[in-house]
Amino acid sequence: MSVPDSSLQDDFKLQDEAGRLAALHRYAVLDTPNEEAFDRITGLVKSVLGVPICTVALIDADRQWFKSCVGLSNRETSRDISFCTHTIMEREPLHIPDAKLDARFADNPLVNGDPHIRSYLGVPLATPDGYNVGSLCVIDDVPRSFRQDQIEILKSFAALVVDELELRRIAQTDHLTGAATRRGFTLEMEKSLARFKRAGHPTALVMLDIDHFKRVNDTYGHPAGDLVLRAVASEAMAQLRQADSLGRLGGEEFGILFQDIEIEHVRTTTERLRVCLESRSIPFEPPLKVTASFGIAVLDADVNTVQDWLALADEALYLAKRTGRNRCCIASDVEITANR
Amino acid sequence: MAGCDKPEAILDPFSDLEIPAELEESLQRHRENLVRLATTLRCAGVDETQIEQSVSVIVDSYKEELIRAMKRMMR
Repeated sequence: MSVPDSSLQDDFKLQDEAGRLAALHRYAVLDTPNEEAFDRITGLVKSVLGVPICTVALIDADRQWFKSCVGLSNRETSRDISFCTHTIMEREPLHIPDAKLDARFADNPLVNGDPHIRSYLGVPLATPDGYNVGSLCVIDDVPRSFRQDQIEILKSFAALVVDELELRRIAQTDHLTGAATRRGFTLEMEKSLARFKRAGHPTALVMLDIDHFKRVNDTYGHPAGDLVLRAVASEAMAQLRQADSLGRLGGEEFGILFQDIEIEHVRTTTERLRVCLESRSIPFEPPLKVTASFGIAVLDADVNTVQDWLALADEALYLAKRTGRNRCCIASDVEITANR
Repeated sequence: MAGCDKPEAILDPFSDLEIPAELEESLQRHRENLVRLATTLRCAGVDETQIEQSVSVIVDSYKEELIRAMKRMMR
């Protein structure tokens, strides 16, 4: 897409870092294993353009992470030294024929040390809604000017990289509610679990189950049930922060993943959601009222698998159901109750 | 297909699938992007064999993921 220079200043999405990160996280691709689809693209680019290095680089808050790379052994670098962080600030490709002659990069450790970047061409990976989440780039260790027809080729491949990302995102979205599918959500849980084991960031899973949902379907029909599911998902999403995620685990059951958050905040946010749902009237004839029960499970050292974690939250949810519904219970409450 | 009650279901395992509009749009974009790739490769003087191989590799990769995605949507 060609944007006149005068429009660049008006293109707020290039400056909207929070929106950009949210767009990146919607793909749920960071820290996932290599995939042939992306490796085939980088392999083709390397062959067609005759370069030693090609990467699909995604720009996270403080790092660039490679979904695919040929010619490099690293899987990530810090963001502040990455070339691609410059690429995502523009709509057009970034072309550096000789990094040693470019004041922005002449002292860069990636130029003066391994992998000795000398020339660079990067095309932004722009989402359909206009956020640059990363770049498809080629690198050479000698000075090199890429021709315009080669730049156009790289732009074509970059669009195909975004197609692959989009396809995965669409497949991991529940199209009734907009929440992640169970598969997409459990993938996020696996990453959270790995992060917790590595760095100990406080993380919590909340399981939400709509009370007496079958009664809604039986009384008012499935269109009413669908409205309820959409309303609950919409209310939950409104309560979440950018780093949190919502998944539909099946039927009328949802999961909420809270990242980097203390238990008291989880409890407060969950309780706020419970009250919002209880007080909400869903437009239908007659208007529908629903409540939900919640089970909260905070990650701790005893949780080793996603299944363990889901089971903990499920036990807490069962306690909420058993003790009257329309309430929030924490996994530790289960132990207290069981010991009584 | 003798002895088969619903031959059309066997011929088309995706006959019950309702494709979300978002996926339709994504498929349309992908088709356009494939055409653009072939065009840019041809303009750069890449030989027809390599163009065919490149497009074929991309189509196969996308097809595999698309089938996986559609199967998931049918669950």
